[in-house]
Amino acid sequence: MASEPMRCPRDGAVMNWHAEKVVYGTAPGDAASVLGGPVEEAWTCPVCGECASRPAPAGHARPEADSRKRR
Amino acid sequence: MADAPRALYIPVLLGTVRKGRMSLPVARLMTSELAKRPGIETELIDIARLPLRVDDAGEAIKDPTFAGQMQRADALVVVSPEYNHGYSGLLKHVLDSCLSEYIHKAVGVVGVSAGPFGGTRGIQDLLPVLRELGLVTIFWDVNFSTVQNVFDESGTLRDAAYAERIDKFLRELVWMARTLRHGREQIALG
Repeated sequence: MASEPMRCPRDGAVMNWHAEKVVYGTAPGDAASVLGGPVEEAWTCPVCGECASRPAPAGHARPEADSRKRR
Repeated sequence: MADAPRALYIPVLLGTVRKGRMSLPVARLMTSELAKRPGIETELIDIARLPLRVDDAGEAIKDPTFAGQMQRADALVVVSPEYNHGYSGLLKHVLDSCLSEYIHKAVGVVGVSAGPFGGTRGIQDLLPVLRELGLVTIFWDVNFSTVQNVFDESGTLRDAAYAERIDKFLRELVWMARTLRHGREQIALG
């Protein structure tokens, strides 16, 4: 579970966390990440459908959760 | 009284800037077919009209209007002509300008070609790109082969068989859009 739920920027409702996505980048340290880059969380508001994202907290994402890396 | 359900927003992305492009009547047709369906809002997004720079790429060149349309979208129809066995480079340039806006949203691809294969080779190249962007592809495609013969001078379809193919495609796309909207809004990542 993500650390703190996101609030919808439009109506303030608690948003639903539905995805984590690696964002491949060239910033220092990106290549050293076990997942290949920083992880972005995707959230959607159940009231209005607004989508939002934010960086996942450091160390939050579990390597075993990323099945692509095992293939 | 309960609020009316929010309409699904499903824009059509015309993925070529080439002069004389025969994908334009296809994109117009897909937009009009979507607009006929209840509970659907749509519009045609022409990549030729997007003010994206070509001296950089990726999210650094994000256009706020296009990003807002992708963020609002529940699904996307990509009309993709096949050029030299691939999709257009500028379509990739446009798609790459967003990322989080696409996550867990449905996408269907309409292939267009002057030859007999209806854009299938371009579609096959595009599918893994769409997946990496976070979009969820449906299994129906619509393939416009020898597109120069498909429409008359007024842009009307000559071949009625396309109507049934488009109906199958849109029914699956709308179902996937509804399902993914429910998932995005209600089902937490475990």
